[in-house]
Amino acid sequence: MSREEFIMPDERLLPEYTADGHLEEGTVHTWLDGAFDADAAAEVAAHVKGCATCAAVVAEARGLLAGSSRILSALDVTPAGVVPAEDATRTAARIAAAVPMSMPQSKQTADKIRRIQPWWYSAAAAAVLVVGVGGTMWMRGGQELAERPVADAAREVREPAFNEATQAAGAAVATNAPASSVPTADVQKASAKVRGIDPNSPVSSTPANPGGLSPVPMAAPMAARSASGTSQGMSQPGSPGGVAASTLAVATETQPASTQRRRVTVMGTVTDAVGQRPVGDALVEIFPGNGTALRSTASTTTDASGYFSVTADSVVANSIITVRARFIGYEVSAMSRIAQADTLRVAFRLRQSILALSGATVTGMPERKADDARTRESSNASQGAAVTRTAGAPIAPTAAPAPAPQTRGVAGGMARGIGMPAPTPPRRAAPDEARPPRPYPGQPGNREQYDRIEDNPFLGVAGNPLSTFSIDVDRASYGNVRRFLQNGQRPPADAVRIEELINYFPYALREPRGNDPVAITTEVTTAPWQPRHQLVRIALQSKRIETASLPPNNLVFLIDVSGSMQSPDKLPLVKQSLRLLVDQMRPQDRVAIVAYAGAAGLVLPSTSGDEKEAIIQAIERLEAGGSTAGGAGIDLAYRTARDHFLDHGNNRVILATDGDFNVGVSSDGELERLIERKRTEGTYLTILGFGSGNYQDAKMEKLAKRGNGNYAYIDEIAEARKMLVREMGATLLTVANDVKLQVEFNPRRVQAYRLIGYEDRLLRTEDFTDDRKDAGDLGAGHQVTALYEIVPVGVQGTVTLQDIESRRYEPVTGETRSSTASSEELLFVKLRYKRSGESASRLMTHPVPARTVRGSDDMRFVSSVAAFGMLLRESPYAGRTSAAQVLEQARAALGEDDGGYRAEFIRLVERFRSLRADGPR
Amino acid sequence: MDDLERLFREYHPPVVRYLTRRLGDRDLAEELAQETFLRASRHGPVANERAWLFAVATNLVRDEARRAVRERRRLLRLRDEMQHEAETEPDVFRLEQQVDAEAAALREQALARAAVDALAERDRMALLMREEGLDYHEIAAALGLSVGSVGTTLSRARRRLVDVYESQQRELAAREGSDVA
Repeated sequence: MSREEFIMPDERLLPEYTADGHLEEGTVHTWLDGAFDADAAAEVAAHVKGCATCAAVVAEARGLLAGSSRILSALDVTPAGVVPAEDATRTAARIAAAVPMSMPQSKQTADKIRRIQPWWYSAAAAAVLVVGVGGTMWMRGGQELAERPVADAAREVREPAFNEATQAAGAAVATNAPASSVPTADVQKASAKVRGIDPNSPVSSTPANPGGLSPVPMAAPMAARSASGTSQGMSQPGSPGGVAASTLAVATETQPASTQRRRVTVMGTVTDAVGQRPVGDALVEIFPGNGTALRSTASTTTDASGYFSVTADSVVANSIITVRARFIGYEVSAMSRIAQADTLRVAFRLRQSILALSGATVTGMPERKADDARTRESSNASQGAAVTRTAGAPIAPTAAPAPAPQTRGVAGGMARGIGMPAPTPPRRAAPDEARPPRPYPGQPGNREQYDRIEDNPFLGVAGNPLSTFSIDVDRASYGNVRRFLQNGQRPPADAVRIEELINYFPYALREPRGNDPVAITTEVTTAPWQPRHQLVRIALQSKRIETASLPPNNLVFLIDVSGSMQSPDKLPLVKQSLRLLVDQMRPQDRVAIVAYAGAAGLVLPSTSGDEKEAIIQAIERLEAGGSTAGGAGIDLAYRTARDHFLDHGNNRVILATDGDFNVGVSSDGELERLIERKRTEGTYLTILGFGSGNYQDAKMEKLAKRGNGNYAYIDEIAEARKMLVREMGATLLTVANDVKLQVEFNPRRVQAYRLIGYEDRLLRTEDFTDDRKDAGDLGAGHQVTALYEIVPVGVQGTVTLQDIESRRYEPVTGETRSSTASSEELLFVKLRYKRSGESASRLMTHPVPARTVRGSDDMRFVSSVAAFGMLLRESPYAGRTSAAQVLEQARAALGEDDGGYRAEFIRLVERFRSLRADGPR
Repeated sequence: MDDLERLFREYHPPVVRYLTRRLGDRDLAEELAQETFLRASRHGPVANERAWLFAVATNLVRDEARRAVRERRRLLRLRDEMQHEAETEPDVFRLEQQVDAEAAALREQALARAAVDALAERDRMALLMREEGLDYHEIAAALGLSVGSVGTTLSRARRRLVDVYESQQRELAAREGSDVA
């Protein structure tokens, strides 16, 4: 809920009449609720006075008001407020045990009365009926009241919490004795009483004395609820009033002493965010407030197993406290909690300290190594990655030019979270090679993890005439970025994958013709952020397949039901999403559900798509709780898929999780190997990521990649609909496997180029023709867009290229195979893909002429998205881009905007701009 | 942050009660209330704080709405169980009269829950907010209704609540009556 959307209406309420001149029922309720201003209320009162019909409606409405209040109050009947239904019996026994034997003969009386009259006319009697419970409930009400400030005594009467006691009792009486208005003095006196400030008695309130409860005071809370229920009712002209002050006074005397301060024990563990090892000797402190306090109220250190328990003696009940954990070499981690229970549990996961490294770069590594890194390209990719990722043991800032060889060993992956090294993107030397990983500026305790992304650098065509990468149809990054921005936070740079932002949007592309499952479309225009550069868009469109004619699906939903999935944006959203998909299922499709938490279980055996009711019911039964053993769940899911394997069908496991595979068989490597093996057997994996705060982006993407699957981040139901329904064909069915692109640049036209995005999808030149090398898959109806920023021949001074040693031998001139190509073409696109089930790849080609045109709407929109991505990533290549420029450009390129995605993008950019205006960073 | 503490002190009880009444689950209500106030702390000051808090709480509840189905089933089951117990073990449980009173209270609770669940979502939210003292303008803002339609919404909600409750009660009484006879 953002401020902009939240506007209080200032509409004036006026009485409404039916066609035959009587008051609308809604008007009567509005009047009784005291919502009219004086003039309107007078008009209604006058009408009621002279109209018997409406007077009857008013009488009935009073009954309804009182009745509904009383019904609702019955929901609160326990000491804790309300118990879940299953616990009701148990709690009842507990309450019964606590209530003394001298109980009034209530039930029979009440029953008798009830047989004679509608129950709500006997509100008071009915209240007596639940006398024991009413007493305990009152204690709660009393506590609330006792904590209120002394001022505003009269106003207190209007407060909701007060309903329970005050107006209440009066209104109950009112049904029998109408229309005596309340003298203000009485109200004040009454409210003073209720707050325990009886002028005749000391301020300290009387301790609770359940044994001495008399029927009258205990009836009060119930009666209170049973009455017309709202405070305004009392001041309403013509509405029933008459607070029974004596009743109230008695009621107050049964109030318990309030506990303003309480002892709060915080216990939990401190572990290393990456290795998940316990951190011993960490200092854990409790601070009052939201983290600004300087002095802690209690502190302790963790034992060798990372466990701690610390007690603060005097914490204001229901105030906010902040628990902070720190240990040398780690970032300080803090969590705020509301002190509403006497024991709070927290788990800290400390990140390796990055701040300590901010001055420590790895530029100190020997020059020779740097050269190697450049020339040997991908063979040293893992080293290169390790180098840039720095981190490792904390080094003092002064150690800046320290020789790094030792550091390098401990580096890779430390700050990136998940212990799995990236599938070695062949990195080329980046100009900003030595930047340390960005600290994630999110909430304390946030465990989201993102792989470090370095923007692709400009590469000289002379040294790197070929650019090769695997396509990526994922779009999860967009949903993730949106979530951050809508939350008023800037997304961490590494959560922004520009290609996924671009691929989120639908574009108007040429459909494939003939036998090819893919069509290539290209366009060349001027780069908006650097007018001297060109921007080349290479877009793929795969064949669309109507869902009705899709091959049969054999789907196994693998659903994470661990405790961490409990929040509303996780399991409930998962369920909603799955229901959407189930609606699309046909009789030939099969669905099974495996749930995993501490253990994995088959919730729904493989069921035909026409038994929707059974499937829906199984989905409804899912509940969150327990820990997460992702490995065992995946195993069971794959077994289930295999048992119902469809030879010509789409066999797929769909994993819905927040990404926490933290228990059980979950060495990442092992998991990935399993997924890969299953892929070769014909069962694919799709991953739907849910929730925030615990979402492990890097891991999810890696797993999906292994399983030939796609992966989407679902943050709201609209996203689920887009992913599962609108694009079901694309999500579930691949039409081209292992799709790789290779772009050859014409050195007579192009001096240097830079691939925007796809940083972790780069391939080695020779991988293009190597059919054993895995790459991304294209689903039916998928679109993929890649952008290159190009420095045309002749442009000087816009980029600094890494120098290349001049070559001893000139290329053989006969190498150029096409003479026209050499002059007319800008670049040449080659695409390799495999058809489903084939192991040999096929080649498609597409020459791109060197003509710059004024871009289409799509082209201009794509470039604005790319520019926005670079802004979010604080890319060194962003040039003169600004949010304003992105906005201007995107607004001008809205096109038809089917589905409103582009309009939403514009709102996000506006949001981003206002964030930037608000604060630094 | 003093402001949050004040907000919490003033509005936590009504928000929790609102959520509990809506969800029938105290723990979940506490959890959503926590989330509501944490969002408030993140959000910073807002003009119409009570309406804002209830609107946030309502949004959180919407995501939980599907639970209602399960909840209703559970309550019907509970009601059946209680009837069953009343038939089979009267002697044990009639030792103390208050146990009787307890059972009656719990039955009322189950009836009330079923009646609340029978309301349309928007009607239910409006009614529960009204019960926590929100005025018509606040309710309209929190639920995205026009102010003029709040009265109609509330009258519909109250009528239906009472109707459903009473008809269930009659049903139950009729069954008990026939058991006795």
